[in-house]
This record gives sequence, C-alpha cells and structure tokens, in this order.
Amino acid sequence: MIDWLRRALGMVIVPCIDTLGTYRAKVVAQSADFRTVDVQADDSRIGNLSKVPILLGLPGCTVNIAAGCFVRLGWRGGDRRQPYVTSWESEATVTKLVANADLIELAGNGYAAVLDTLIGALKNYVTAVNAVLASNCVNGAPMSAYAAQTAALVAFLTALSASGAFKSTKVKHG
Amino acid sequence: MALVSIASLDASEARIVLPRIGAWHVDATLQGATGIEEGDAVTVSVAGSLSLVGHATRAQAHEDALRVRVVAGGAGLAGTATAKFYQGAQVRLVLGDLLTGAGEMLSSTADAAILATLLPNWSTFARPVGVEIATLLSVAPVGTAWRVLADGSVWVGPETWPVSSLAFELIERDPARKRLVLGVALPTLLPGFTLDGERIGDVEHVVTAAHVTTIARLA
Repeated sequence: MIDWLRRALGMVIVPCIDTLGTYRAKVVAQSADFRTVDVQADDSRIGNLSKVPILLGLPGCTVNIAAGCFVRLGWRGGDRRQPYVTSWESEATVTKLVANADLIELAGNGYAAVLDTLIGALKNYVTAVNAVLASNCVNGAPMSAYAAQTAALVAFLTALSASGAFKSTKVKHG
Repeated sequence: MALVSIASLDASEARIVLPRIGAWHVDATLQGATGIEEGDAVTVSVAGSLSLVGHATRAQAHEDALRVRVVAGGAGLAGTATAKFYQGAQVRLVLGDLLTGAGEMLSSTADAAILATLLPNWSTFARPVGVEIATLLSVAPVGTAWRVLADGSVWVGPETWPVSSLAFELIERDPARKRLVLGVALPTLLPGFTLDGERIGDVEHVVTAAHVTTIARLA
C-alpha cells in the first residue's frame, strides 16, 4: 500500500534539481592531464557533461582512474557555469596516482622490510666478492687486472648505503 | 463588435494576463462559436489595436459557448527542455536551443549584449523551458527581464520603462499588495511601461460586456 502510494506520488511530485547539491555521475572519459573528466549523470534530467574539473580534495595530487567509476557531480556555489566532480566511489580503479610532495609516508612496513633484506643481502654478496678479489693477489697486492672491478664494487657498496638514506628521507615506511 | 476576438470570433468575456516576466495567456468565452481546436495557431485581437499571437491550449464547448485558452507564441515554454551541456557558448546559442526545442522564436529586438554573454560552462536540465530560461538569464546583469511579446516572440533585455499615455481612472490602490485597479476604455496597457510615474509590472485585463478593468501590479 505504501509502495503504491509512493509510486503514485512520485509520478506527480518530481524532485527538483538543486545545483547546490551533488549528483551521482558515471565517468565516461578522462583528459590526458588527468584534470577533467566527461561524465554522465544518473539523473537523466541533468544529462552528460564534458571536461568537468576534478576537485580531488588533496592538494598537489592528480589521479588517473578507469572509466566506468562513479563520482559526485556538483556546481560551485550552485552556479551552472562552474561544474566539478569529487568524491570517487570506493569501487573506482586507480590507474595512476601522482603526488607532488616533499615527503610521502606510506602506511605499513612490509615493503620496507623486504627492501632492507634485499639491500642487506646485496651488501653481503658484494663484500664477499670483494674479499675474493682481494685474496686473489700476487705478492700480497691485488691483481692489477681486477683493480677496476674492485673499485666498481666499492662504489656499488656506497650506492647501497645511500639508497637506505634515500628511502628514509623521500618515502617513509611504517 | 467585441473588444476582444480570437481568430475573428468575438469574445463575450476575456481575461488577458500579461506578466512582465514570462508568457502571457488569454482566457476567453466565445458565445455560439465553433472552429477553434486545441493546438490551433490563433491571433487574439484586442480593441483592434493590439494583436496577440499564440496557440490555443484549451478549447472546450460549454453549453452554448466555447471556452478557450490561448498561450503566447508556440505555447511551448511549459514543455520540458532537453538536457544538454555547453562549453564556451554564448547565451544566444543556449537560449536559441531552448526556444527552438520548445517551438518558440527569439525576438529580433532582444538585447545583443546579453545574448553575447559568454558561458565557460553551462548545462540545461530537463526541466520546464521557462524555468531554464529564467536560470540562464541569472548570468545576465541584475534587472534583466524576459517575456513573450505580443507577436509571439521571446524578448530578453533590460527594462527601459517607457511612459504610457493611457487614459485611466484609478478605482483602487492597494499599497500593501502594490496593486492598482484601473478603469480604462481599452485594455491596452502592457507590462514594462511607466504609468503616471509608476513602473508597471504584471498586467491583467478583465473584459466583460459591461466594463473593462485593468489590474496592474507595480514593479
């Protein structure tokens, strides 16, 4: 009974479109600079909009998403000259996320642990190889034919140490 | 001969509603008349000096009379607009699309500066065309008006408030409702005029066999 009444009323009372509100819209395409999208509003009274600016809500960030996801479509100050999209629904597939920041801190430490293990193993391996080279000598001096390789390995070890420093200042884990 | 006739058929009674913003309409009773049907393009002749071009949206026989409603122009402003998105368009394009879709025409006297207003983005929604026109003109300078003229075309522009030379007798003044009731010989006052120093907004003429009364709302 209530459903019937609701349907009957729905045929008579059509909700108005309030441009101070937001409306669900499907992303059809995105521009190459990731800054605008073409959308199709769920409400057919609104229709399709092109090159709508993305209001991501995170300064310095752009995002490339797969077409087919849903966003909220609105108009700044209710002005139809200023449409925007924001608030991606959770099913959205992110193809690429670009963040312009001096420091990006990633939650969790799984990645950091794997990287530390890898760097440690590389250091051990290079040190061992270097030791072999150093032991392969003539009258107590390394063979001159391997001097360049020895220098390269020392440089590699230095780089590995530096990579640890880079990791801790640019991307913080955990 | 009657003061008001529709499609050359005399009206015994008529109510002519002329808003300052929007579309006018005429409700009339034609005694013993036939021949007007809903959807017909008709001209309402008022006192032989004013011709209102519109379409009959209602034509019902009632006893020995035909009751007719005539709405301005193509009577399409109450119809639903097409949802459409524009980028870098002028008001002229958007308004033209709205009017064309509704079967209406833009007046050649419409203000060129307003029509040239650039819209970086715009969306028309599937809502009544008249509502969409009003929303569109919200980007125009304050005071911009729009209405359907007597010839059935849609005019937009700033009011100029020309002075009316209409002879009238003041029957009633209602300051609270900003309303004047005037006794006039002919129902020819139009909205957007200045009458005796006062700006006239909406106008309603009531014509019967006995008298003509004009109700003017002050702008």
